[in-house]
Amino acid sequence: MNPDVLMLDETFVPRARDDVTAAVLDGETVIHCDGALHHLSRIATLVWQCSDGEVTVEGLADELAGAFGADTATVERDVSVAVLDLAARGLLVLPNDPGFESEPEPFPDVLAEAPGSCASCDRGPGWSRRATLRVGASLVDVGSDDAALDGALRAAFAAHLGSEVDAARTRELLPYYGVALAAELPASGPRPLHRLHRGTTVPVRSRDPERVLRALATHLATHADLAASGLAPLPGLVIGGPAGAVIVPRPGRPVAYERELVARGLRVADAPVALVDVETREVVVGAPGLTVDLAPLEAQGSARPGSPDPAALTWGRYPLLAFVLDAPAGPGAALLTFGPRVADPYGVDAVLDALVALVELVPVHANADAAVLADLLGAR
Amino acid sequence: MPERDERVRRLLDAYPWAGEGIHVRLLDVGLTLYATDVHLAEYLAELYAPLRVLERGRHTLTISREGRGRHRAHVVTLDACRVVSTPAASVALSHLLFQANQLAIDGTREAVLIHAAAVAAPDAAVVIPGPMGAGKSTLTAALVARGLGYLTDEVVALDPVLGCVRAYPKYLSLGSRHEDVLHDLTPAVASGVERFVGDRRLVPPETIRPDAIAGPTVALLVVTPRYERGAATTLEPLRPTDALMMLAQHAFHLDHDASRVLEVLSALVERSRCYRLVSGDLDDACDHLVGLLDAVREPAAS
Repeated sequence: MNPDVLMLDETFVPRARDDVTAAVLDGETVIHCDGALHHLSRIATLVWQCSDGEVTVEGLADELAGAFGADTATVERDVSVAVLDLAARGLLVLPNDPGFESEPEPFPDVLAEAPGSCASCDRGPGWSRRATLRVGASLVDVGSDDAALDGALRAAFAAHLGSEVDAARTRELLPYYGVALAAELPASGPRPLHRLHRGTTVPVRSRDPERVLRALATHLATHADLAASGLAPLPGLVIGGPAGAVIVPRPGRPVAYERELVARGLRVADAPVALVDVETREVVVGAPGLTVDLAPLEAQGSARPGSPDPAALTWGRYPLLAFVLDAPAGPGAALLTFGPRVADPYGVDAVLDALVALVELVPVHANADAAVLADLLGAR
Repeated sequence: MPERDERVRRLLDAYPWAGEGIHVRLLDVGLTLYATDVHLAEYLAELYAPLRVLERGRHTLTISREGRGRHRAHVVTLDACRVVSTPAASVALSHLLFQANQLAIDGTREAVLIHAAAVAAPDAAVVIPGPMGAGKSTLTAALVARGLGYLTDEVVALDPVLGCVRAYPKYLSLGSRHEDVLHDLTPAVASGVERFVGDRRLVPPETIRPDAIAGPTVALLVVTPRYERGAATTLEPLRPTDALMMLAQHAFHLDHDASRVLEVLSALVERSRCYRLVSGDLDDACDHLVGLLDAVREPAAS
């Protein structure tokens, strides 16, 4: 409740809000105001109708007592109760109301709900350090667990670092992204896996720490203004080879599928979507629209135990050779497979415009087996 | 944008679906349904039979399969936008049916829409608003089985000028717990479709009675029901503002169009008798409601 309501007395001049919708039946009123419904009794209806912003509560009580031949003290009590009730429901203009002309200051969207994020199911690292970044119209937190890595992230994405106010807005939320890099080789066993977290999912894990750090950049870039870069985000996986790239549906077993592709000389892009330049019919792999200094990330990569195992598709532009589906072939199938989500975070129109244009220009094949793709992409 | 949408329709029409598209009119919205499963396509055609039309709809709702092996999933799309991808056939069908109904609600702006059922005698309709689980559909099915005309079990479309309830004769959606009381009304589900339908009871109105569907009828009665196991049947008149509050709470476009919605609902309340019905016995509830309808029809008929 607005605390100003508690300050109202008999000298208050009630004025009914004029931006509500009211229906009167049998002397009672139903009001729709700010998305809520209110039911006013007959007395409250009278008070509401008389609240014209010119008469005090005391004056209103005198008028009504005179009109109905009732005891002034009783009516004044009833009117006061009704005015307090109307004010508490937000149906009256209060003395210190800021007015409806003030517009809230525009503020970036806070990306707080990464896939699987919730306090009760968070089993990820603790993210003792976090950098708050402004990317496009979004505030994105990147968590990490050691000072050197946090420093490298801040240096690499310095152009996007948010203010103290930005950091305060995200402090209570789980970081949207997190990077976990192993610091040293274990005493025995295989080399450690480094991980990129997105909420409680792990979209990239690799023994190559630099691959994980670059993957963070490609993921962050999808929050930038892609339209300004002339790019459309399609929900598919980019696979590249010597002749160009194809877009395939995201596989159910990504690690095993990548192993098959790598064995045939193909590479996979580490990005949550395929960024496509519709004009040139090229796939863009990298971090377009993001200002990133790769040197601190490369230094972090060199400082950690790792091996290039396997390498991701190198950043660059690749001719889009085909969409490749599980089955059947054809532009309609590509539309169904790569269509946007109903409430797509990238915007339904951006995705659909690009897709409709592309599926009529780019071949749509029906078999995404590694051997078929290797032929298509000119790999060994 | 219209050009893009036309290209989307053309591309989707060319996909190898099982059978022809099912063109339906859901209130003001034209929709074409497609499925890749031949049994499901036949089932949808029967389910939406009273709403079928000849012309292709502006919107396209599809249900198909994608993926391989244990990652195979059912996919529902609306105008090529992905609604859901799920391994559970029944979840996919739920989304498809929900989206179709939601399209009808979102795309119908001239009529005032209420989350309610409605049945009709020849010259008077009863509007039956209530939350999910209140027993609207069950009561409606039983009333239709007794000879009243079916208008809708979920979305009452009230003509703002004439005060008529427009027919939106979609299938009735009965909860599985009512199978015992309405067993005879529930059609058998063909093999091959059970996994989609699950334990839902979806009843095309014409399987209850061949001539079940009523035309537009003026609403003169509002009854909000509540099923309570074992409760004696009681009828309580509603004060006009209580009835208006209750109807407004169930109106679909109140936040966008409050002035018009409240005006039309006020007119409905002013010309109708309004009651709250609590009952644990379906036959008894029907008797009370038919009695009320007869009572309001007498002055109307005279």
